[in-house]
Amino acid sequence: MRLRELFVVLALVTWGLGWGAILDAQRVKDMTLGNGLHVIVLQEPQWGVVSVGLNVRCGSLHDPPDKAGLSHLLEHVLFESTDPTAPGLGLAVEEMGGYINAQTLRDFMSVEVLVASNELEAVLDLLAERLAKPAFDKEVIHQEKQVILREIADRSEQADEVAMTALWELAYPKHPYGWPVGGTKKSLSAIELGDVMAHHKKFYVPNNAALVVVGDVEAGRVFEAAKRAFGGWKAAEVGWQPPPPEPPLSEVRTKVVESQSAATVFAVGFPAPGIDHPEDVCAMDLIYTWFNEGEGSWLQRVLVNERKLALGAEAEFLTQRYPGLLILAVVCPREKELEARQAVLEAVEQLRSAPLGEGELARLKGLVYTQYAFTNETCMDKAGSIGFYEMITGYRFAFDYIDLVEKVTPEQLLDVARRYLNPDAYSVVVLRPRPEGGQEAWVPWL
Amino acid sequence: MALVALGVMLALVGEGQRPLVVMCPGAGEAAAVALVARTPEGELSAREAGATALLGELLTLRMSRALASEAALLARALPAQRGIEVGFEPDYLAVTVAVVRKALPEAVDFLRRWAVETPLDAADFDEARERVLKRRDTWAAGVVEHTAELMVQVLSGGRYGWPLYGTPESLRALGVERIAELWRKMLAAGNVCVSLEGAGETPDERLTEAMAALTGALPQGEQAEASPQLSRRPRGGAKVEDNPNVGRASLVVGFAVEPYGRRGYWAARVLREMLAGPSGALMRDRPLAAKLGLILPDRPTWRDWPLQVLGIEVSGHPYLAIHAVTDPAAVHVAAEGIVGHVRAVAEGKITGAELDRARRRAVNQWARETARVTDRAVLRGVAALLGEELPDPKQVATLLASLRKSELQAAAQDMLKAVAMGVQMPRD
Repeated sequence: MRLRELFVVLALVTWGLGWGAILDAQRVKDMTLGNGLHVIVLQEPQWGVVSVGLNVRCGSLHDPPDKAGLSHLLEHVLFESTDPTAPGLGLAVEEMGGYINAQTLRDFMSVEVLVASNELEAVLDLLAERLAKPAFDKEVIHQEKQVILREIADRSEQADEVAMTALWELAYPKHPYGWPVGGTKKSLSAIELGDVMAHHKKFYVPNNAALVVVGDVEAGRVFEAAKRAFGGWKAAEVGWQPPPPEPPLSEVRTKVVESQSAATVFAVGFPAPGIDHPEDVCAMDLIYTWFNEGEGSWLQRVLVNERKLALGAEAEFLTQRYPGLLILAVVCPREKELEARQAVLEAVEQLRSAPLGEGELARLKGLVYTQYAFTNETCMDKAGSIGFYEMITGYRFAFDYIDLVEKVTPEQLLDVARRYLNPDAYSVVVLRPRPEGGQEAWVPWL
Repeated sequence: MALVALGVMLALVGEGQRPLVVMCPGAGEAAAVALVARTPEGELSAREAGATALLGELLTLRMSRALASEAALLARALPAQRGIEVGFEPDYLAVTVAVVRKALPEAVDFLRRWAVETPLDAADFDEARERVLKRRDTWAAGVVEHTAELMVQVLSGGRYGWPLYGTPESLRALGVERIAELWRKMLAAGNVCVSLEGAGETPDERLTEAMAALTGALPQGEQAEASPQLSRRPRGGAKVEDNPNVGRASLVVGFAVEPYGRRGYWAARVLREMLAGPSGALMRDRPLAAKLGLILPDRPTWRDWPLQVLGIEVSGHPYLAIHAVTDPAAVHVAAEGIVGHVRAVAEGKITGAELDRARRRAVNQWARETARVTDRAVLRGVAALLGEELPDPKQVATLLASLRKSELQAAAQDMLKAVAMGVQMPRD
């Protein structure tokens, strides 16, 4: 190692010491109400705001096989009002001047609200009323189906969305992770009022949910308010069995789709760890970071800037309850598709062939730390992180995450790259521009 | 009004003639430093419209390249996509670096080297101008933004009325030397504020040294003082443009608001909330909506309602503006209806329930606007240059609770002294 390199490495390693806690475990308190609702409070005595998140383990994972999109539709319906004289949940928060966001992922759904901290009780009452004891209406369900169908139609015109949907479907032909979270036109048409009500009754029970409050509030006040607002919510057995795991991939699985776009889009999905392998998850986050984060990321620096094989590229890795995907999505000129795909495999081989240097690993850890700091910038962000991990493993993971990342060694990272990034076992979806004159030049090895 | 924000220090750093520095301890590990520089009054002429946009683009190019080329520690302490932001208004330009807390000294150092000490590069100038021209096109294509700009041209005049991104002619006439001169004047001590968010209760030695170096690098001049609010006489009238690309008429009705920090400013924010939201006065005014010549949905929501209130900025020259989508023949009806709502407040037609609702909304709205450290860093700097502080939502709640109905009435009466309109009509 040359002297200059040694100096840089030492500087980077030294800089990594003494990181502050992004989520301060000393200030978190939790309790479980008599009905099983887990209430988690992180007191942030600053700025007079509070964020309230209600999370329910009811994601697309929980959809019945022929009714993909049911959980997502239910979330939409809960946002709306069945009473013409009263606003729905979304409008009720807007009426207060607050901010509300809801999302359904594969593993769970969440609703998050940001308001001034004196509104805590009002928000808890509102969430309890609209999410725990909603009224359902056929007309609202029909209306929300139309909204979702429009969303699906919009997404079908976006190449990256089409590629991602096709990739999950290709990688998970059996497991519900392969179903689109929003469903399809066919699956939505099969959903009726009774399905929505039954789904709510089954999953929206306090022992399957967590309330997360972050902000300028004391835990005692939150616990009291939560008991008052949610205490009457009846617990019930959820009675849901996890689906069998997707059989391991042992081949390169490929799907080619003709598209309207001028450039080729391809998305490569490698198997990635689920949260039951937390050390692997942290190592995979570092691999994701190596590919994607910052100006020095491989995708930007090498694929786009130096080798000029791609117009744009990004990676995606979302930690989930069950094994997921590390996705590398690339937009490239049609004539550079093969070269770009080869380059991606070469990058994978680079990660599999030798451990990263200490300096490079320290750089990646610094980036992960920074990203985590800014994805936990506001109270709402923090409530989101805590709720996220509570739904898939336990909220403590959100507090332990950076320490776990810090412990990853070059050898561990190499081991994870070798176990998950197999150049002979991955899925790839290619969206290729339609050939002019109708003559498609099929690539022989696809 | 001078609100004393808990834990906020108003401090001066360095030796000799120094700029204004504001610091907030912050919470969490996300931190930011913002260099907020005011455009000196009378510095620019109408022929130089877009100069601040051009300066912003030059700084963006310069700093992005510096970040990419430096193998410095800072490169991994910045969040992806939003580490460096350059924003501007007619009043000011703000360069913000968002970093993790412990890298604040490096961020301050980066600002010093790349925003202050290194001369603007003539080699970047053509690219910066091209970028501004593209932004100008995008901006002009935004119907609401462009109609609002027409309104501001009437209401405020001066540089506030010039196109934010200039014109092709004004941008062509500007050279790098002129932009560099403008930046030097903006950085002079009386015009600039360095705002640190997340500096901790007691800034450490590294941060203090970095701040001293930054403030020492700024052009020396008069001791910074809180600037008195600039006086301005708002003007009434209308500016109408034809736009074949819009399907309906777009109308923005604007009213001048007292400068940020004064009680009238906060009264205007409450008034705004009386109009806004799912059960605000504009949404309740179904008769007005019915006269706009539109086909309204069966179950309209606030989000798709044809009358929308725009935000009130933290500024020395803020305004309240309402946008309406309307049939071209009903533009005057829409304008009269909107003015009628402000007049109703001026005449004291306010119920206690309406006032309570509006106060509550205004506090929550403020909580939303100031939730992010980067936003707070800039807003605190802008406020400091106006001689004010940035209250937290609790303080805003206390302040708004003390606002009397008569103050709302007075604010509305002031607003009615000059009503400005911008209109885009859908014809060739």
